[in-house]
Amino acid sequence: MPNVAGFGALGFERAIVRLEAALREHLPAPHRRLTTEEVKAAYPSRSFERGWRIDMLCSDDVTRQIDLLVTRAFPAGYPRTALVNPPDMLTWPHVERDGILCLLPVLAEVDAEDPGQVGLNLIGRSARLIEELLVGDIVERDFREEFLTYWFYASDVRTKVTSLIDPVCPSRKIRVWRGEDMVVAGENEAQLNHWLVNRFGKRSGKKTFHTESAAFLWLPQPPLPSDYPQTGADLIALATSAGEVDAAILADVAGAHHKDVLVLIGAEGRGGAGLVAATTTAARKISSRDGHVEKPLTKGFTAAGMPPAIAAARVYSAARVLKSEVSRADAAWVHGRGKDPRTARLLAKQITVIGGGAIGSSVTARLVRAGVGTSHIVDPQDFDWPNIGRHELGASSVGKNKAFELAARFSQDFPHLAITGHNVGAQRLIDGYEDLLANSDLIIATTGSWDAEGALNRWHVVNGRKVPILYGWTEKHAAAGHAVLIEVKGGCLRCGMSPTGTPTFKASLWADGQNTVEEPSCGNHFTPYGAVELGHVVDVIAETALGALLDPPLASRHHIWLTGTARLEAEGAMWTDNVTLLGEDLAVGQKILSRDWPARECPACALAEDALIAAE
Amino acid sequence: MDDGVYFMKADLVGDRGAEMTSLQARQMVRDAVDDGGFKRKPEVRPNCVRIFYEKGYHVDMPVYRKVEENGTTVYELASSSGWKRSDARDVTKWFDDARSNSNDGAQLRRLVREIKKFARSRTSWSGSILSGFGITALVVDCQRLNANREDRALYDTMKAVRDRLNYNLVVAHPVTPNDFITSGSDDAKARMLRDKLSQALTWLAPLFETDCTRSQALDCWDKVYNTTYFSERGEDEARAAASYAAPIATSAALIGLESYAGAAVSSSGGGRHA
Ligand SMILES: [Zn+2]
Repeated sequence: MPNVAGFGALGFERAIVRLEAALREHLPAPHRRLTTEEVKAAYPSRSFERGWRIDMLCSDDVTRQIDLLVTRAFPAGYPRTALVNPPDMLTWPHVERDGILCLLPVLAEVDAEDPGQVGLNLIGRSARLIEELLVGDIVERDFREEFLTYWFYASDVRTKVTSLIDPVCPSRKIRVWRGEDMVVAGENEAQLNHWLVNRFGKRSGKKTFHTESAAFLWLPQPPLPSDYPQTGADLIALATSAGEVDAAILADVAGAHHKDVLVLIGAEGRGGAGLVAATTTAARKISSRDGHVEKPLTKGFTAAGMPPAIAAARVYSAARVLKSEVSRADAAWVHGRGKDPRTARLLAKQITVIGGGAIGSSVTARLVRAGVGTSHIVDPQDFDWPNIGRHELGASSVGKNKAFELAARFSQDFPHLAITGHNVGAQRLIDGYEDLLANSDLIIATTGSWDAEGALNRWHVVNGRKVPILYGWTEKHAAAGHAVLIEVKGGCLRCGMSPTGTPTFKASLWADGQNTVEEPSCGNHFTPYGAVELGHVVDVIAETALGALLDPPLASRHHIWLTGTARLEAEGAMWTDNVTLLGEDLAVGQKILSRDWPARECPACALAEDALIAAE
Repeated sequence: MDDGVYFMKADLVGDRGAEMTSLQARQMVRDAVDDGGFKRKPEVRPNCVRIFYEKGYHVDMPVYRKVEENGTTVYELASSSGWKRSDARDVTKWFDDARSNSNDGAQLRRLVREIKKFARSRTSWSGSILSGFGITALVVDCQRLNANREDRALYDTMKAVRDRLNYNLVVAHPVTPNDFITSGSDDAKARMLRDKLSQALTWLAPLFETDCTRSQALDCWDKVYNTTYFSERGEDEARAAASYAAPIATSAALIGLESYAGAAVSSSGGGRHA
């Protein structure tokens, strides 16, 4: 059987022939091919190319018609079906204004190689939907459970309100900022301002973001389309249906401001809470013909003398309200769509990343995306051209401090999180920022410098290793990556290092003299490695960090990522005995190994005893 | 092509332990299928056992034996000239090879199907025109492919087959050496195919004239295939509407299509996320 999911015009015609053959063979009664003109006239806002009309005798003895419609992309872009002469919009769920039926969820897939069967299946689904709508049980249920969709169909303005609020009971006063092309609602002034400063930067001089009072109305169940407010009065009626207290909050906001009011409306739909928005229009200025501007809300009163009750009555009047959609930008939604139970825990965590280089910047980026609430990034160096091939930052940050730039970048992209940069070295950090270290839930050190990390380890040991520290580095050519998590028990970092910072456990063995490349300047060296291979190393470190935050091990632990053995050998290196003695089958390589990071009586650990003695 | 009765060679043992002859094997099968319930008794034919059913039709059952030969299994047909290496599986392989040796195996397969369909387009031809196997062998030999125009390829191939039959009505078996699909030098069925092809070619003659309209072309093909299928594709809506005053499907009948064609739509998608 030829594959009808062919290509181009021939594929389209073939698919049409197959579809028509299936209709002829399997429909219980004849159907009618629609002319192109009929298709265009019936569905002017769609790009359907062909159509077929099927008569259907429904259980209420009424004959209805289903149209089967395809676009030029057919057999890709599966066929749609429509109910001819549909009832008014929002009478039935899943029926759009032009009768198009919503049969399939977004992630549905169809068999483009068998367009006939697809068409038959969709006709069957359409018939079932229409019968279910006639029975009526699903009408109210689906309107409520999928109210975001139907509110969208009823909406008056296209601009969505961006919401930072936690969509939970009870109704309450919130704040709103109205920008030129963006409206943002937050729980309070502080949250809203934090978000706006992160997103848009600080305003120049003493200027701040001007926010206003708004209302959040929590409904015990989602509204039906017939409940959607048309006027301010409807809005108050909707609030009253939830409770007197809820209505009072709306009145309060109007009485205090003498301005139009944004009301966010929340309710529990299928798959979680949903938010929609309505804005009153009663306060809009009216310009009369002689140029006199009337302010209908405050008419007859001075601003100060305006009684709140009258202001509220005027706001929630017969003037219409504008319905709009809401984009949730609150942390729980951004990180896991409100479904990931780890999100709330991560949002409460604080990390400090020492070293904002290739590894540090990318590990931080992953943790920020995962939703770690508070991040401090510490690095005294400026960003330079050779960095950009392996770094989260790019050309626009060249010549600027890495820590500041990373914090600014992540803050702008994740304005609901708290991300701060510190332009200091590790030593000054230990001396002057002890609170920062002590208050972190996890410290991540990715400096690759023994000077810095040896000192950090001494601080760690002396202070009882209360905060876990994760050290991450890569071997030459990113042939192996290491994540060493130092917990209260097990070894300290120095336990597994030589006095000059060479790890006892190295994974790859290279011929001498190839280890580093020097720049033509005094003592500057670097290890060349690719951005792609580095990704694995970053991942193993980031995953270890996530584990340390959410499910910390009891004792220090060492995770090693190994590149493919073929790649290692192609570069003229081999695995060390450390690796081979672990007994793993490394024929292919590309493995993550885990081992303890054992304690031994190291000089750093001895400091801990000194410290105890000193304390006594 | 695979229908038939198969035996292991070792199991086909005659009265005194001797190897069963081709005729004995067919007789044995005939005796086995004859339960006395047939109005007309099953008959031993040259290459099969023929079973007659009431309504005047019959079914031919070839008899094969499996022979292990150098580690591979070959099949031998109980034919009028003894056990003969001839097997449906070989034929299948032969056609697969023919397709992969062709520049466009898919088109070759369609051409075979299209000409077979033509040969079956009139019930009056049934039984007196060359078999589908014979047509396949001829089309494989005479294929005239055309990547841009299926109609051209079909026309040219029909013509090539016709010319080949004009030259010689004998069609050799493509797999079994020294065997023929046709019988004798003036096989009546091959002759009929040749004559019907000639007729079709005259019907199709207008197809490649420059002023041939779409509807004329569709009419030509309808004549060849004895249908209204092609011209219906171009028919005006009035005719469609006329046939529309027909019974109406109930919603219940349409709902049944959902599960009938259930495999074509996956509501939950393929489980690949990006
Ligand atoms: Zn130690």
